[in-house]
Amino acid sequence: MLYQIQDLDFGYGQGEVRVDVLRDLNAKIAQGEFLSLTGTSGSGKSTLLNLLGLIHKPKKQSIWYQGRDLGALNDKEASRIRKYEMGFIFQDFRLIEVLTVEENVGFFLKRQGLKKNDIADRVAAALLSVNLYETRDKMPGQLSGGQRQRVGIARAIAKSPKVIIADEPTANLDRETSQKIYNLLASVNQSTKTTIIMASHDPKAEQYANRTIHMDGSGQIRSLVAMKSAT
Amino acid sequence: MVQLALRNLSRNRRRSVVAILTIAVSVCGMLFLQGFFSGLMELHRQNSIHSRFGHGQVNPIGYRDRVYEKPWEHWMTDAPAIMNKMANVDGVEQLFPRVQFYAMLGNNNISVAGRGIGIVGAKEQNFFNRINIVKGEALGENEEGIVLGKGLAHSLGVDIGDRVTVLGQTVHGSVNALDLVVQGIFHIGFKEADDALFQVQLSQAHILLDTQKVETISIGLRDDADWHQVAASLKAVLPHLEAVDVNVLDEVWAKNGENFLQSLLNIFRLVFLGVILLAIFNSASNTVLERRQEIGMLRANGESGWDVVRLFFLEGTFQALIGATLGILLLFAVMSLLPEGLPMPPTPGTSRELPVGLDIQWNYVVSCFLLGSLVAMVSVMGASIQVLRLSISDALKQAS
Repeated sequence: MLYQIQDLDFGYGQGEVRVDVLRDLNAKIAQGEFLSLTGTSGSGKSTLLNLLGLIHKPKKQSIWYQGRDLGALNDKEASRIRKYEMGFIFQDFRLIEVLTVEENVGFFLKRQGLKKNDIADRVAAALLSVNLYETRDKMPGQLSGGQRQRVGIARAIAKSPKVIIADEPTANLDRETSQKIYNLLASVNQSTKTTIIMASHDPKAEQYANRTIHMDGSGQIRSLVAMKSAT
Repeated sequence: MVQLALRNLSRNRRRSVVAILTIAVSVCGMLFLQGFFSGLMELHRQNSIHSRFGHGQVNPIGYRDRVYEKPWEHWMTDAPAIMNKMANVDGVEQLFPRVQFYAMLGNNNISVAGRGIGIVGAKEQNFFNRINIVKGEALGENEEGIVLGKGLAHSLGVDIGDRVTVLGQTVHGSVNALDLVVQGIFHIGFKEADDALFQVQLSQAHILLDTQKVETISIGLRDDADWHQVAASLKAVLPHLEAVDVNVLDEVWAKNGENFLQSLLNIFRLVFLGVILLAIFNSASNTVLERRQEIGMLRANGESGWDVVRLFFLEGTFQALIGATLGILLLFAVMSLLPEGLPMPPTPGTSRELPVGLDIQWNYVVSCFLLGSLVAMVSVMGASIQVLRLSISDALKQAS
């Protein structure tokens, strides 16, 4: 089991201004799953994603990642897990504008301290998998939105992470491009067995996931859709 | 990180250029002022050496510190022997025996008090080349000549070729007089000197005073830097005399002037460094604010807060180093535009305009480079430290 969530409560603010976003949440996420988090705005899917991605710190004994209590980790330990075991895909891509496509994809590999040859191999493989190898020398500003998001995906998968956290990866893209991105994520999940947890308010997203967690505004999981094959 | 920091300089070119120019102009300004003030002091020192004192002088120990009723009783009686010994000291190139005396100068109905200096004109005219003869010529070998300060000549109403009577007192108390011809009019630049000083041949002064003694022996060195070594040698060979440096002889300017200019320089330095501090802090703060999304992305991918601070610090360091280097190049460009120095009005207490050269020394350059760079780096560090207070979720939120 990659994640185990048990009686998770989470909210923002304190005292009278406290807003509870997640209440009494329980779920398990297996290694290799492609999990889609859906729900309306404010339903808590991004908050859950941030908790699973170690961006928010949960209370102790509420989320376990590979058997480790995330609430008990210090900042350094959390950074280390994010650095070596997690990839992130953002709604607005967040590429480093002054680096080329190739440098963007390789940036965090360098930061991991990998050797030059290993970095080059991994970057090439990641760019080939998103079909952007030919544009490796271009700057992000020269790419379309869909291409930029594919670079974002390549950056995430180049890290060979255990889990990819994707927050609304298609929110800024048109329908056709969104479909391509979903297909790409599904293919990455199938070929590398990387766990993908994706938040999206796009109902189509769940067609590509193995499992979908629907979240309602009450901070609880409304329904779990059974695991199925990715399309 | 280094590569990214360098590339980030081009991200907001206008801001980077403004930040770099702020550092450059401030470093250049600090260096310029330091060089200018140093040049001013050096100009004054050279003026003092080559118009009044030489590199220093020899006189009996303690002579300068007291006021005597009959100073000539303390003058040196064996000047030729002393000068022989002094001439053998390595570094000593020229020696100028002198006496000073007070006298009345008269021309027809006008009498003016003055302070005379008896010199060996032929020896002094090459070394004391900053006397600035504005009319006529230096004393040279003319035994009958007298050279007057500009103000003194004006008071007497005399011009080149006019006769002047110098009325003085011999060392024995009787009145004596010299009848001399105005050979030149000089302009040192110090009003009190130009209004009172005059030069006659030492031989004439000896006749007027009725003595062969010498009050001081001024020294011309082969090299300005030799003074300490020469003074030590002179002390060894002439233990009954003291060798006094031009900086001591010209103490008011050399010491007070330097202290004053140093204080002024420190104030300007603080202003320049303050400009760097505020401008770079503001620029770096804006950069951090503008790049919150990127900070969030970096932090989410496992970079620590300090890693991100280091990135901003590296960018600031590159900016600082480029700016400080540019500042130095800017200074050299300014210097090349002012090969003769900066034309300046007379300094306080003087009445002569002189161009002030920029006396730039490498230790100045290094200290200004380091100071400018360090302050810029501290500013960037201060501004980017806010990254540590920014949570990842807050940084990520900025984008949405």
